[in-house]
Amino acid sequence: MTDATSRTPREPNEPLKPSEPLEPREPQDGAPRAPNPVVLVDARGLRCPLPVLRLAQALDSVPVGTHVRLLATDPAAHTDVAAFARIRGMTLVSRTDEGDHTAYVVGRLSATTQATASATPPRAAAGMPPAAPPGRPSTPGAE
Amino acid sequence: MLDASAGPVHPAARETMAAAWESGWADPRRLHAEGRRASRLLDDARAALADGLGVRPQELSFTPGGPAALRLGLTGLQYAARRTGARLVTSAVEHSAILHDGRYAAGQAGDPLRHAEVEVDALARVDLDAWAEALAVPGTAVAALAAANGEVGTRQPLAAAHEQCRRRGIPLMVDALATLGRDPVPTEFDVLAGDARSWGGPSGVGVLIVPARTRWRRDAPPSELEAGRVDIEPVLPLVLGAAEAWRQQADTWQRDARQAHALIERVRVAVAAIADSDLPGDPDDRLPHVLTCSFLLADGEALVTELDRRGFAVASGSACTASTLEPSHVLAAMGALTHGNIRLTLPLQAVYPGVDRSADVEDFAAALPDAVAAVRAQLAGR
Repeated sequence: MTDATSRTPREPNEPLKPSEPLEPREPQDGAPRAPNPVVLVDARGLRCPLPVLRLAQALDSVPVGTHVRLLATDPAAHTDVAAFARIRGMTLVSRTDEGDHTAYVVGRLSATTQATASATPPRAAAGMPPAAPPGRPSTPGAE
Repeated sequence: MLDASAGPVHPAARETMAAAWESGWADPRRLHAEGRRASRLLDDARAALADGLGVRPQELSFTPGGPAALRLGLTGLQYAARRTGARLVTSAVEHSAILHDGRYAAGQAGDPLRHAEVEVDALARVDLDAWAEALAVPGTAVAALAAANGEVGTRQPLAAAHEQCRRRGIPLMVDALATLGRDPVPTEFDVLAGDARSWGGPSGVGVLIVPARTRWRRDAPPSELEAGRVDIEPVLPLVLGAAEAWRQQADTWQRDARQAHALIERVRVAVAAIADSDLPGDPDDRLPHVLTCSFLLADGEALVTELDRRGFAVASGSACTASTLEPSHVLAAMGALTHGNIRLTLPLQAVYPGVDRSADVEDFAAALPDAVAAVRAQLAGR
């Protein structure tokens, strides 16, 4: 898969002036300001997990309130951009089929969207020391 | 070894198979002494498995593997129900043997309604309302659902799904390829398919259960083999190995399953403690021995390689590891992260008499955070 990614080198993270007229659709953003600034990330031709990596790198480097517009051809991005947004607590504003690629717009809404533990840990996980497997009647190693 | 989806074989079954190449190789249909012995061995194996699965011997046919049992089970139901229609209803997370055939048939017929893939929730559990809706479409002839998903472990609401089928007179094929030997034998089905690998038997042996009450008909010329359902002779030594593996685990599987469930829970806790991890599937109502998880901004192939370097064999559902562009259809249907994915299938403890499975899992849980960090660091530089 390394050759597939290197076969089509592109300039990722190329910032664009906010030329795309995108209507922001975040529900919680009450600020009645102009449309969010948009940064374009072109990950066409890159294969998983590079499109999401480029997206994450871009989102890390932009101010809160910015939208990142990701272009990708990798079919795995279809699922993974949404999963990325869910795990990182970001908003997938739109997903548009644009013929030979798909455009994803992801919004960075707050500063506290850095690495967090899994959004859906098993119920027993919270505060458990890792050495103690939780409440099953028979414990491992007992046999 | 944390990837026991294709083995290994129980040592007692290996012995049985080795002996069978000497004494159980003859054609069971021949009348000479060797043939009669082969016939008796085949009958014994069938009786043992049928007894374990709670069916009559003549209801059980051996097939060349689990996926073959799925295909055969489905085509026989469809052929028998051809006057009702040709529409197949499955979940979106069924075995690819079922989904690929369903999509192919729909494509050939130019009729997308011919195969409905019912959506699942974030745990991979089929939506029962959508299931009922899909069954209600005129022309629906057959339905198929796995007892539990072999990739993420989630059990399906089989009783409710079967009841909905029964109300409409639609036969249900149940895929138990990951279930038999690990979880209770399903009782809610019209046709049942299994794979000897799930209970410590060899590759190349599937079982197809067609109860006498089920309308099933082979869509091919008559066969004299396997109650007329199969036209490929079972490989007798393999079948004997499958039956021996079943006998070996018949009294111990529940204890094995309880321990496996706790071991997987142990890994779930370790995964949840790693930042930006995704842990799809039901935490509790699941197969005891299966887990899948994904790590954001990690490469699945690199993770498998890194873990292998540290002595842990795991599988992956990421696209980059499957030499295909498409990631696991199960993860995609659940909306789970598909990159940086690994998949664990714990072996039965009995297949590795010299190795402590618990210690293996404990070591794995301890090594995982480091391995993920190493792989993420590699990727971050790209």
